[in-house]
Amino acid sequence: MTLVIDSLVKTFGEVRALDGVSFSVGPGEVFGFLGANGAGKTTTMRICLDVLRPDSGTVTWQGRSNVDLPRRTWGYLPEERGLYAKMRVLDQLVFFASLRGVPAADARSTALGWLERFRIPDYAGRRAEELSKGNQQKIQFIAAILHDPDVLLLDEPFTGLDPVNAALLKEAFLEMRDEGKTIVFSTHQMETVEELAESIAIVDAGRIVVAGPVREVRASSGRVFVRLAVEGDTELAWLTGLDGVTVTRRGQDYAEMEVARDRDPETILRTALDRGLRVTRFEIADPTIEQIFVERVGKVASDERTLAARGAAPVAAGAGGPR
Amino acid sequence: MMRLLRPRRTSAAAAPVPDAVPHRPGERLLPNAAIVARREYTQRVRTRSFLLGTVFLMLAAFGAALIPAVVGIIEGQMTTKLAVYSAAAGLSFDPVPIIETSLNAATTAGPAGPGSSSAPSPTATPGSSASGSGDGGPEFVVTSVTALDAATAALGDGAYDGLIVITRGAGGDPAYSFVTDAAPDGRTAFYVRQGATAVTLQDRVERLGITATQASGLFAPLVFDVEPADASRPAQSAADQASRIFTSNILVILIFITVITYGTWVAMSVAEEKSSRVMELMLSAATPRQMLAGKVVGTGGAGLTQYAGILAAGLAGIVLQGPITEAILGRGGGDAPALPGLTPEVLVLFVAFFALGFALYALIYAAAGSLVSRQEEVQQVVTPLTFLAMSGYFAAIFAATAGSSALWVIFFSYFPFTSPYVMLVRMVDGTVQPWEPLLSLVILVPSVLAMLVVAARVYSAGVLLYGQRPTFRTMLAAMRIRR
Repeated sequence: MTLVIDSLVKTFGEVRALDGVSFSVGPGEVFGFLGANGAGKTTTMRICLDVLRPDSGTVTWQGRSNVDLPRRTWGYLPEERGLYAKMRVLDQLVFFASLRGVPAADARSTALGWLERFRIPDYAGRRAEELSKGNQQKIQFIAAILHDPDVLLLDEPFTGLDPVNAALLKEAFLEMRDEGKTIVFSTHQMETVEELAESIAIVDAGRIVVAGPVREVRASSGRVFVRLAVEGDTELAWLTGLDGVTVTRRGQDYAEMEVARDRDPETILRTALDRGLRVTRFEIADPTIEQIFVERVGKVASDERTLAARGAAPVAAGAGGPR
Repeated sequence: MMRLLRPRRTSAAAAPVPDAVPHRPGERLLPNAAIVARREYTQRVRTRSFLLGTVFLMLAAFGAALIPAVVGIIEGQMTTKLAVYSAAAGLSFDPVPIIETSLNAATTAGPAGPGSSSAPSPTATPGSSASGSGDGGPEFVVTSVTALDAATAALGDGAYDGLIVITRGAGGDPAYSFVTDAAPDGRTAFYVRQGATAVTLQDRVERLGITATQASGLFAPLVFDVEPADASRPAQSAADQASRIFTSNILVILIFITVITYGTWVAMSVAEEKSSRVMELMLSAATPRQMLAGKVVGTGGAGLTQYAGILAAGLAGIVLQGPITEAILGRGGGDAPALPGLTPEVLVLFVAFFALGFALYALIYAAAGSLVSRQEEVQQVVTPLTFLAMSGYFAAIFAATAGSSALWVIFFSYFPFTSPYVMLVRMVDGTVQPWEPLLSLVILVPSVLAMLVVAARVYSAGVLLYGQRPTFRTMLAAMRIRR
């Protein structure tokens, strides 16, 4: 284990933002960090970067405490995007890289390469305020990786991007993984987690509620789901009559149901065939990360908690800043 | 421990709950402070407001430097024409040259106050000081007229600015009547009266039958010396002292304007980083001390660049004064005014005090800028600092008039927040020992470094505060955090 986050506790006034957060990320691993707004994701990342100090607990990378690590170890994409509005794109990329000790000429050529890859080479001389949100986000991503850091901390890297830009950024993201970088990213998009993350941790109100490799997390719940689609019938009213089957989703494309543990999911397929239906999809699956997230965190409850926490804490560090 | 001794504050929930960016002792100021300074400088000098402001101020300085030449040109083209009618007076000599000489000599010598009672010498020969006017042509042109009616009519037409009618009065002395639109207690009337006095004295001398030799003995200059009470201190004329006060005022105002203008720039720049959230990225890349030091140096450098431009334009104006006056009037202009007390040593020390004084104040401005969340709120936190800078300014202005030896002046010339101002005043005054400004600097340098540490501490906490009103208490709470 290389990146070890051990029992972090952090209190802002009366609000306990982190209450013993621990998880570890293997070398070259892509780690998804999930949680509702205000759950403690940004605070954890800031502690890793040594922008905040925890009340207790430690962060180590390859056995070295983060307090002693050089700053260029980390590449950071903050959730609150921010660039110098009046500064030219290339100038600020070189500026951020040179603060981490990258020679200006190297930073310049690498940055130009990335602008090329992100299909915005013409923007090198533009001022940041002239760029669209999506393009600013690409600049921000380049700023996070330009100094060739070992660990990437990406806070909501794919939020607010159109599909084309999201695909571009994902490609770059995977390239970073292939280069052997350790990546911790947070997101609200559960599909993205399933697509990219090898391991995850779900944090709620400053505590880790579940953590581990994605497959294990999904299997560990013990729940079984079936996805079924038949030709010419989207209602599937007959499912309601089956014992031990709870329909969780009735979509135009397919229906999803949870099957009680003591039931054989294949009875559903058998019943459908017995009824003379033409089955186009039948899938037995573990719950999705989204289902686990909702089960463990409880969306409504956590949103209420977030609002309460914001009202009580004038310091925005834990909540990412009220707008 | 404090909890045990003090009652717990009841408003704990409303009190700010600051946190702070930790200080990492291993990290040096350089090279990151220099990188930040370079960004700050280049970004600042590229802004339109900087360019326009600099050009405007350069033009203003150039124009201001040309004012003496312009005044000279206007004055040079303005002559006051006076007519003298003396037929009825029965004078044995021509009064016109005496009056003209007296008028032009008096105006060239500078405006003597009405309290001055020095009588012009009646033996002054016409033409002896006619060329005394450094500005070239005479200000007063006096002509003799023989027809009173014609002269009165010409006065009404504006051909003359005044008519002096000389008659023989009851007591035998000449009597004068000055017909003019000019103010009766004005400058022209005053000088005409002096001219008339000279004519009367000359007339009395003639009537008493005193010879020219006797007369010159009668009006010979007397011996009158003023000795300094303290022989070790050089005696300064009132004019010299006034000029020195003027010089130190200029230097002090330069520092004051720099502090409040460029200090506000520093505060704005910090607030901008905070409101644009670029701070998030900066904090992961550089320490608060690196950022603060870089900001102050970079912005101060931009300010110095602006000053250099203004100074160059002003000097160009001063150098061009002569040629411009010459081109327009066809003769040489006056000498450029020199600032007494502004020796090269004082200038070098001025630059040192200027830079350190600015750094000291700018660090406070930076810390203040970190306490607000939006740029629009900067003015709120900057205003009290303007008063702080102003107190140093006032101390210096009072010191300039109080004299350099007052004990409180000496104290403030070493106290860090006022020493850049007050020591300058003492230096210009010329009454300090050579080691005194150096000691003042020796105190100032560690003060700036200490301020960097304190300001960085406020800043470390300030940049993490969002949505709080910037109060003195917030600042204190922010400083109390130990990292």
